[in-house]
Amino acid sequence: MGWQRKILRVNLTEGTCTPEPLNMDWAMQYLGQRGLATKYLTEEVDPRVDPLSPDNKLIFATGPLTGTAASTGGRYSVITKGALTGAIACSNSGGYFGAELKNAGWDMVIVEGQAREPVYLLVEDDEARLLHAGELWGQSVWETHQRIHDIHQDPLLKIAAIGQAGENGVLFACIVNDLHRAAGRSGVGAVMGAKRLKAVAVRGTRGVRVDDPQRFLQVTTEKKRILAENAVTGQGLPTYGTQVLMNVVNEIGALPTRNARDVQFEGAAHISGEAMREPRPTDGRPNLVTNQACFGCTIACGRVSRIDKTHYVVRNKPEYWKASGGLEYENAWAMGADTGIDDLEAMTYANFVCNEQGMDPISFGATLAAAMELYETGAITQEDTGGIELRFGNTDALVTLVEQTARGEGFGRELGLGSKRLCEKYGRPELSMTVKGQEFPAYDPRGIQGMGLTYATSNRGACHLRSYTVASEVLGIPEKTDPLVPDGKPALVKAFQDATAVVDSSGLCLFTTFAWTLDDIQPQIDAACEGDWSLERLLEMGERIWNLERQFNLAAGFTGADDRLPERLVKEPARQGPAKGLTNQLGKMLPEYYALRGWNEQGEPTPETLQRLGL
Amino acid sequence: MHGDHRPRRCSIPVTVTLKLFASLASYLPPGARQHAAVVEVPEGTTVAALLDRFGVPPEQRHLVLRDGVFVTPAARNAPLREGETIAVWPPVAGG
Repeated sequence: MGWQRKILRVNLTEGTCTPEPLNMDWAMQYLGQRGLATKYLTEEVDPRVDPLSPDNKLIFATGPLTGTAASTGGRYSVITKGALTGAIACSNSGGYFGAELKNAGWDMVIVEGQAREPVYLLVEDDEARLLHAGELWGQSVWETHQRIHDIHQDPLLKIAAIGQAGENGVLFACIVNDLHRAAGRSGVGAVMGAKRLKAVAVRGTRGVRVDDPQRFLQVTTEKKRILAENAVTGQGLPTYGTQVLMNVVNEIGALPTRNARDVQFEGAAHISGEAMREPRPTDGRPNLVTNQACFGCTIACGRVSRIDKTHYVVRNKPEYWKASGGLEYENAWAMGADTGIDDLEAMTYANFVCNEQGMDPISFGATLAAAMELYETGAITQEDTGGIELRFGNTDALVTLVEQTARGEGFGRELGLGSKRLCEKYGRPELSMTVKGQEFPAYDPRGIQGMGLTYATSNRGACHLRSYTVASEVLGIPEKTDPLVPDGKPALVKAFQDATAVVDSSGLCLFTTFAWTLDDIQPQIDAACEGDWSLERLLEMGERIWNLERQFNLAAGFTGADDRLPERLVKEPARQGPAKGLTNQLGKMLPEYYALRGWNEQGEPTPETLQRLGL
Repeated sequence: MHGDHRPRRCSIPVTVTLKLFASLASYLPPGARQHAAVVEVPEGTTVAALLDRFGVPPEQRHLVLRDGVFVTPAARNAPLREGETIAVWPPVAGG
């Protein structure tokens, strides 16, 4: 158990909702969520399909621990071929939606085809229906959330929806659940929009059963104690959230600033986690209202913020005066340091709009940063931007363009392409800070060498959450390594990648690994699921998942030549800080990484590797 | 004779910037701005002694940076150098 053994197949072209048994043979090999849904996608979708075509599929997948009593056991993932990247996409979210879906009796929902008219999916335990969404189309995530609750007179429905960005084909549109938690990256919201699926609303009352309830309760209680007693998960994350990293990463000289022209930002202190807690001079209240937990989480790192209502950006917009999802570190970096902006209130507004309209703030901010450099180097002018002076540090440009991008208006339509297509269009592809079409996040690989390999080899395009070597290289978790040297990083990256694939397939949150190792997670999986889930089996499964994703990408047309970083990171030395004079040493790390993976020099898994992993 | 008149080497104070972040900010002296204070210490003062002086609990000195570079616990007994920045965090993480 742990699984509900049932999936819901929704064919939008036919307008049908059909239950079918979960393939338990695959569950035994891929566990759930990321791994299992990737198996379904690779079996059912031609990797060469246009991501926005009806032939692509969109899978909402839970893990065996989703909806259980395990701490953080509320995660779900959206798996599809990414609109932004054309690579496999797997976007993970918290909140309450995933646990609700599981409690309704479903391990996953596979959405296929394309609706003729906009629809939304309503799931109430065993009952699943497609309903007309005509009046919801054009509405924001927040309006959709309210309207669906009103229509069904059920405030307990949990809702995942797209906003205007997903409808308008913004290639980094995301899917937002519970108002401000998001399956954020790779454009999964654009795929949902192309299918004309506005929302999935779920109410689940069936509960989730585990294989050995007594052992499960005992082990999850014991592991919760570890989270509570750990200084990071017990105190640091709930108090400061992920945003505590702003000053850390700035001090070590790895904060990509002004489209990664610099690696330190003079305004970092103004936009940090500490700054969010300081009373404002205007109203005496801090930006941060409280922290918040997702389903079953005993860490509670989420930020809830309130914008200063006297700030010029919202002075005449009372609808933004209430408390809502605040800045996380990646968002604050993208819309702050990377654009050279240090106005915390305006950035919080932009973050609200990203949640409201369903956009990935990392890709949005990084694309805006690339556009600013295009502007400053003369590749685009005010004629292109509709009169916006698109200089680094221009807060007005951030505010105007976050709105325009979501609505598909003005120069925002260009930003909605993402930075790769934008920079190619204006003849400066080297200014796009992307890998496989996806903007890299808030760690400069010149100052954190392992993150260069992480970005270059990430199966979903540049991402920190495929192998967060920052934990080791910067924070000393589980042990400190030197961020400025490439030595030892290929093995570190591989270990993080395989372990992360396990966590992402379980239903648990990756943030538990600041306190837990797989040794802590394994007994929880083993108690919840039938069969013997040893550590060795899980690690081999993580490696299997990584290779399966790689195979999808190779079949989609990617090659080893796509495992590369933006030129700037390997050719332009860092200009400040401890990494001054250094570039990223990807060329040194990549061959060793391929060898460790059991891949040939072209980055393809060898027949022996595939056979060993049962692929 | 009136004692030893040989020239003596004077102790020259060292000026460093101390940055304390997250929950450690409360250990900064009054007048600190943006988590930083410029402080003067006698020559030979070590990183650990500097943190002792401001009462930073040893178990909270998780991430200690010297001009942005991590200082291992063993290396915290090295003397401070003129003009450098010492930045300290308790156990923190994000992502």
